[in-house]
This record gives sequence, C-alpha cells and structure tokens, in this order.
Amino acid sequence: MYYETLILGLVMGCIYTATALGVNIIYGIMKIVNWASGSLLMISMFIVYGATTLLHMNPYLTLLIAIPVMFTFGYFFQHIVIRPLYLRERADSNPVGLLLVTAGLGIALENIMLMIFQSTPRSISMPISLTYVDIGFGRKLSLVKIIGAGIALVTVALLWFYMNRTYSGKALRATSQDREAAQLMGINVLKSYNVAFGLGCALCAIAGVIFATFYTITPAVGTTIGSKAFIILVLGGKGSIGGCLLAGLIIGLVEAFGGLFFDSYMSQIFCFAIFVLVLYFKPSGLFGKSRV
Amino acid sequence: MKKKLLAVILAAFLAVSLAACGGDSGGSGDSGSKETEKAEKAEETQGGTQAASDTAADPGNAGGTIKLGVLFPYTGSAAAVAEDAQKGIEFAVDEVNSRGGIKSMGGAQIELIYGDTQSNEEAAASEAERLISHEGVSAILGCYQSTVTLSVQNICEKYHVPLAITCSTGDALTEGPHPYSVTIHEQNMDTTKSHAQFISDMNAKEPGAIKTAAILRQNDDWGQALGDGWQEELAALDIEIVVDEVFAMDVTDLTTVVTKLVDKNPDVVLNACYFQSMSLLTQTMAGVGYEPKAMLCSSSGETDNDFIPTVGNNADGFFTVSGWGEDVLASMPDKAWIGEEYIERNNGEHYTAESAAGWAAAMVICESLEAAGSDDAEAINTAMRALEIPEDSWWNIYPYPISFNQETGKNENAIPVMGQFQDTKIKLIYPESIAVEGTELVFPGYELSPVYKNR
Repeated sequence: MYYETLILGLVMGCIYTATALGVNIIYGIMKIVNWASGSLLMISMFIVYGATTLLHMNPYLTLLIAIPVMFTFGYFFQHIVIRPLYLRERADSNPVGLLLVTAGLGIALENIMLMIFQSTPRSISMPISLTYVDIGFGRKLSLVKIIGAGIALVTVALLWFYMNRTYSGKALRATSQDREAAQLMGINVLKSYNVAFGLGCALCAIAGVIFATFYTITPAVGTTIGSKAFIILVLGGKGSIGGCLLAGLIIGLVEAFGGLFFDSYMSQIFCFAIFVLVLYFKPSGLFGKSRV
Repeated sequence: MKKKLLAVILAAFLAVSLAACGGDSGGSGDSGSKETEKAEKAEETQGGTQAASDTAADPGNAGGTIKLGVLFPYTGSAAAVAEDAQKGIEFAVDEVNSRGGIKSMGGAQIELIYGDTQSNEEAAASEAERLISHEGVSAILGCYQSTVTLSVQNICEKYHVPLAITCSTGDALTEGPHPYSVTIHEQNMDTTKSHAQFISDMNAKEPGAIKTAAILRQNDDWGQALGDGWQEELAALDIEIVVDEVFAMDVTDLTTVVTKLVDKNPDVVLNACYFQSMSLLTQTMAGVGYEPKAMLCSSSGETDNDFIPTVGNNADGFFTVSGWGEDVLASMPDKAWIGEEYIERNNGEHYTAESAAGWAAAMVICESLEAAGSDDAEAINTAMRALEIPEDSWWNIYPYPISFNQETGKNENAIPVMGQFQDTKIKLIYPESIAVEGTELVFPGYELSPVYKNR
C-alpha cells in the first residue's frame, strides 16, 4: 500500500506541477501573479472537449490545437490589455491594476463560460479511461494519470531546454533578472513579456489537456484545480522550473500519504499548512533565491 | 487613439464580466437571460422597484403578480443540482400559471426571482435579504446545502417570510422550533435509518452477509450529520466500521480512498458524495476493479442528471436512498404526464430527485397562496403550516401525504425509498413492496457491475 501511495503521489505531483508551470513562468519573468491561470486551464479543457466531440480527435492530439490557441490568446492579451497598464503603472510603487487585471480575466472567463455552457458537467471518454496498469507488487494505477505525468515531465524538460539553451529563452531570463540591463543589451522587453504571457497560457493549456482526460469539465473546474498551482508557486520558489517540479512532487506526496495515514480532507489541510509555513519562514520558496 | 481603443475594449470586457457574474442575474446562463427579460419588462412598467412596491400595497394582489424567491448555488461545483431543482420549480410555476394562476387571488401569476448562494452561508444570507427587502418576495424556495439553508432559514425567521426547504436534508433544519420553514422530503435521520434497515434486512436474508462497513463523506454539515447517524446505527447493528473517510468538495483524486477500500474490503460502503466526488469514486472503483456487496448512496451526486452520462454503467448495482425516483411515477399512472412533460420541456433530460423536490416545494407554496388568498408572508406561512396534501393530489409525486409538524415544520410522513442502478437507470426496489412489476432487488449489488460481469 505504501508503494502504491508513493507512485500515486509522484504521478499526481507531476500533474500538479503542470498546473503551476504557467503561473511560475509568468511570475518569474513579469512579476505578475496570473490569477486567471485556473480559468485558462478550464478554457483549454473545453477546447479538448470540443475537439474530441466535434472533430473526434484523440484527446492528446488536441494539444496541437490548445497550445497555439492559448499562446495566441496570452500573447495578445498581454499586448493589448496588460502592456498599457504596465506602462502606466511602471512608476507606481503599488501597481494594483496589474494585480487585478488577471483576477478580472479569471472571473470574466469563468462566468462567460457559465453563460455559454451552463454548469452541466462534461467528460471525455477514451478507450483507456478505465485502464489501470500494473505498477508492481500487484498494485495498479490509472494509465491516463501516468500518461499525464509523462506529458508533465516532458513539458518540464522542454521548458528547461527552452529557457536555458535558446536565444529567446535566454532573453526571457535576462528580462526577468534585470529588465533595464536587458533593454540596454537590445532585448525588446515588452515583446519578451508578450512571449512570456503567451508561454504561460500555453503551459496552462497543457495542464488543461492532462486534466481533461480524467476529470469532469465544468466552468468552475479552474478554481478547484488551480488552487494548488499557487501553493506550488510559493513552495518551489517563484520562477524556478526545477523548484516547481520538486514542489509539485512534495504536494503530490503530502496529499497521497496524508490521505493514507489520515484522510483526504486532512491531506488538503496539510498542503495549505505547508503553504502558510513556507510563506512565514521562507517567503522566497524552498528552492528560490532570497532577495539581497 | 490607442488609449481610447484600450478604454473601449476594457469597458466592454468589464461590462461582459459584470453582466455574467452580477448578483441580480443570479443563476445559470438560462436563468440569467430570463431575468434580463423580466428586468426589461419591469422597466417598461415604470421600473421594477416601483412595480414591486405597488404590488405590496395591494394585500390581495388580485390578478397581479406574486414574486417568489429561488435560492440555489448557481455557480461553483454544486451548480448542476441547482439547475435540476430550478427546472422542477419552473415546471411547477408554469403549470400553475397556465392553469389560471392563483384563483383565490383573481388568477394572480407567479414570478420567480433568482439568487445565487455560491455555496456560501454569508452570500446566501445576503441574497435572501436582497430577495425579501429589495425584491419583495412573498416566500423563498431553496437552498441545497444544509449549512447554507440554515443561514437562509435564520433570515426568513428574522423577516417572518416562509421558506420551503428544497434539496436540503440536514437534521438541524427541523430540530427545535422553526416557525417559518417546512421540509417536504426526507431528512438525514430518515436516510440513515433507511440504510440501517436495509443492512438489517439483507443480514436477515443472508445471515452474516454484512459484517463490516466503510463510511465516505463530504466534509460539510450534511456529510457530518450522515456520518454521525451511520456510526450510531452501525454500532447498534454490531457492524464494524473499517474505513471512515472525509473529503473536500474539490477533491481531484480518490485513488488513496479506493486503495483503503481494497485493503480493508468492507461488505458495505455508505457514502455521502456530491456529483464531482461521486463520479471520481465510481470511476476509480471501476478502474481498480473494486466492488462491495452494497454501495449505499444518499441521494446526492448519483441522482444528478449528468451522473449516468459521466460514468455509464459503472454504477450498476449501487443502491441509493431517495425521497423520489422516476419509478414512483410508474406506480401513479394518472401522474405519468408530469414525467413525460418534464422530459419534453428539458430536451430529453429525466426527472431527478432534485427536480421533484423543486416541483413539490413550488406546488406547496402555490397551494399555500391559494389557501391564504393573499401574498402577505404571514398569511402564506399560516396557510402553509395548515396544509394537508393527500397522496393522490393531482401534483403530489411523492408516495406519501404532505403535512407539517406545527413546531418543527417537518413533513413527518416523508419516508425515503431505495433504488438500485440497473442498466443505467434507478429502479425503485426497497422496501420490496414498492418495486414495480418486473424489477427486483439484486444483492450483492456487484452482480450487476460491469467489472464483475467481465470477470
């Protein structure tokens, strides 16, 4: 039972990491908390639902639709809505508008989807939906969750490669470290922000595809799933991809073993207790760098 | 120019989001648009508030409009239940209006005003106050979650406005004096007793069939009350509880819970789960291949209209305690039209226990208005508590009469029946005397599960 719980914790941890990557990238580069992350995830779940029911696509192939759609949305939302606010509030010591605009986007998206689709739960049925594979010692685990964890790990690896080995990724990192210096080196900071927000939304799309394969799709689902992204953001350290993965795994394991030794409700309490303790004792996160 | 364009875009965006989440529209998209239409109509007649105060000035309100408040969680994970209940309420009100309205008030028509509880006690109390003080409703129907309903019950008692409790089964709602609210269907206490009776009967049929039990419940007042009731009843039956699990409404994975069930292998699983967790639990159990002798549900997530489309036949064999099931109508041929018309109105969707509760609550209020002959809240309340609705009343789709305890407001006649999922439909089979011809109780329930059949 402990072995199965360990594997489950790691698998769910990888999946939770996928939900937090988008928030993490956007905060790391732009210093904006994307409160709309859950709603963006929900939108991509509906994209998956639409593509599978109308176009009869394989849910995993819908990544090819969800990622570009969400990237384009994020790119232009940043360019049209966030950028002017950023330029106006740059000199402001307390840029409330920037903080609230993503929260507004989240509320708007959820309620627009509620108006269009109502609260009727929808789900995707795949031939492998109920396939549980042997993970050793006679224990079984859901195949779609294992695939979801695999997609999350590949995403982490690709994101790390992009940020560390490509010019565009390095430009984003440079912007996050010192935007004035980056600008002096010829990097178009505002364009980098467009890319960063688009990338964050595309990462939400990947998480949406993963969740759509095993979770019910409703307009409120983003609130349910998205809450853990912020715990992982704080725990892993803002802007750290490796930290995000480790934090996701910690949350997954705490939830699984908390559920085993106590009950699943207590495990949620443990997750939030960790959130509060890290905020109190190490606000930069377990794997983030403290500000000098 | 760019700034102006941005301002226009932002203003439009804000307007759309505010229109979508505004408290006045309350409900789902459908109800929201209906509310907008109603608001437009109110404006045409010199403004909604003015019209409401005019209505209030006429105690008899002959031939006018009577406003009833409808409070449910239209947003959040419980919204699907709200939609079902609302469909039942709207069906009842349309039926009464089309039959000439409230005749004792000159054919006054009923108008529904919606509010969103957001599954939150404070929001629900504030919406109840808005409906009473601002909208001038004569009575309220709602509100699903028991803790939320309790807060609305307090507001109704404060303003002396009658409340027809709909889809809430917490015992606290009928404990002690509650002079302004009534419950029509069964409460938790009735549910746990019915489960215990079932276990006892199965053990009488097959001695020693049920020795161990698991309790799975949501962490709220409803789940807690059922959990406490089950513990008490199971102790009395000498059944050992081997798993007692609580989970949040927004749980995303129940594999650990099912792992515990596989490990302890209880004979019976008693659960109080809303739609999301019930679907997760059913799918995880089917995936892992676990099935108890009896999966006893509590008329919540598994009775949702979207449950079967979500889980298919994986719930076959499950039992559910219910105040109502479509099979009840099968034993009432003269009321079969109610089920048929409901399906026609709702694009093929079937009546659920929640829709039935909504229908009955709206009808109770309409009967009270008819008896009172006035839209005065006190008069309606007095008439409501004196109601005696026989089992064969044209609209009573419950298999029992409706009348209320004068102190608590509880319908003492309410008896929960029990159904079993057979071929993706709930067949009422317990007590076995109510089973429709051709259906029978299958125990152990897992004999009907696809996992067992495919083995």
